[in-house]
Amino acid sequence: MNWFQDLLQNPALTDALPEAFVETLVMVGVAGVFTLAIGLALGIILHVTAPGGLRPVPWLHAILSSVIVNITRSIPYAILMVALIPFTAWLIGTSIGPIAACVSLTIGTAPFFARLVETSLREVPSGTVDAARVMGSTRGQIVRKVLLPEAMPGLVASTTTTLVMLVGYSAMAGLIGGGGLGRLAYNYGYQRFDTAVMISTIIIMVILVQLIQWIGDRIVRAVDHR
Amino acid sequence: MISIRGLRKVYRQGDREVVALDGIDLTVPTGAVHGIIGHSGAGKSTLVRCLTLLDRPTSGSVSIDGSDLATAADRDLLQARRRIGMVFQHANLLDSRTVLGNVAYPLEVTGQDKAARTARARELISLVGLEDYENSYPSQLSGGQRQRVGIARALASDPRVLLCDEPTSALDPATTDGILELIRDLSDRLGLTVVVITHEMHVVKKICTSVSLLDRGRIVEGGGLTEVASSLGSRLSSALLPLPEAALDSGGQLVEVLGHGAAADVPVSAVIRDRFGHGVRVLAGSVEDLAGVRFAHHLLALPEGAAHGPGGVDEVVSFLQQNGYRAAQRTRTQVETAQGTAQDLGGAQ
Repeated sequence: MNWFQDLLQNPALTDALPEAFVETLVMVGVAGVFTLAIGLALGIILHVTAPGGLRPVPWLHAILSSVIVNITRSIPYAILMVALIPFTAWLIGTSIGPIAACVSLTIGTAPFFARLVETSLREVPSGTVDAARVMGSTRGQIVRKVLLPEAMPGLVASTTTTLVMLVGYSAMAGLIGGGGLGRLAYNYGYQRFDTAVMISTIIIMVILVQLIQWIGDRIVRAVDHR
Repeated sequence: MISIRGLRKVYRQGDREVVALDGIDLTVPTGAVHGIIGHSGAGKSTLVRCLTLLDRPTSGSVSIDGSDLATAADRDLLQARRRIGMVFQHANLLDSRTVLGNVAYPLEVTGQDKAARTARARELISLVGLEDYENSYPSQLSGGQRQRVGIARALASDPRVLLCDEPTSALDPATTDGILELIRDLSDRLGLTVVVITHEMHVVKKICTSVSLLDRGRIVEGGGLTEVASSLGSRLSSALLPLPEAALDSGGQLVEVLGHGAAADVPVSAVIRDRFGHGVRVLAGSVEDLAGVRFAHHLLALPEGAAHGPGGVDEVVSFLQQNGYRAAQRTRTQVETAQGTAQDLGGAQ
């Protein structure tokens, strides 16, 4: 039981790890809320303004589309988060800490989520939307009462994917001052060769991701009436 | 009453113009069940989209009970659309809502309070015979049940007009008849004007009081069901009263005869024998009741050589015409064309 007592006396695990875990939760939680809100709005705008959409605005659609593609496809998150440090410092006064990390996390994942939202909305059959239009629905009613509820299983699945991605990104953000499990694993596990911390971090990350996926799948099943 | 005047719809496809509707004129009186039949590509879908203003017509007018839809402003359009109930081929229900939620949807968008719309939706659900299913989701229903929900939903806004776009094309024959009877019954009970768009003559025979044939964006034939059925040689008549395949290579002169009402109850070959003393061969025949009138349609073969003179084709044809039949001499090609038309419009047996 010697190794077990070692674990319990390791301050990296007893003190630093709970704190890091909370920081990770804060990053995923706060960035998650912003990502979902901004991404959902962007995704709806993308879908509605697309050619053949409810209110086609080709130039707006083209601009949003290319901005999103460029942020999500061309710029790796590791570079984006560093490049955004001055912007973060200007926006919230500091570039250190979990809250500061949320800025780059949101900017990195919201476009990704927006694209997933757009794809989910596009899967609602055009006949269903036609039916709603024939019944005299306004565009707002079609979005609120038809597109979003009909696309709900896809939207929930997209949310799950996005939150899992945020867990991964938050670990990266930890390296440049965000804190959380990513920094813990780097500082202790990598730089101090503390294998116990490294393994504990991995286990916690795996459990966290599994938990998000499990809850997400449960909700999808509950809302899917297709 | 629905009144369509000079309705045109031109689509742009690249730098090419495609005329989907080429000047449709049509009046459907209140309470009528009017069928619009045509094969695919005739412009049926475009006509539906123009009638519901999902697409704006290029020119022309569509008015329902006197108010013009085609020129309505966007705001009035929402109101105007609510006067048309529409039934879709695939029902197009909201999968995320129960039967009750689907039927209540049109009332929700007009801002009725929850108690009122639930009560009204329940009423409609029992009208289409789905009382036990109000909490079911569409995916738990059969195709016929889904279409009943679609019909109940179409009636929720108390429309004056029910527009049915291929309402039974996705259903099996037994379910089809159930749905058609329901539409007919609702039209009688609620005094609805119904327009049924279809490619199946069966649908027209079953419920329509009048019919139009749509071909290449134009209405080429049309009128009351008995009127079009009795116009011998027309495309609608050939499709409404199709003849079974007949062996045409046995020689002889071909005569097509159509009798309706009293004339349909007398065997036409016996009438000819009584008058001319020689029999005729019946190559094909069918007897059908359309809109309560009996029609007898026959293809007769007179002996070879009996072209003119007593008992010849000319005499037989004019004798039949004088006795209340529609009759005409036919070539083999004409008979084959008519059979092709019947097949084309889904009326072949």
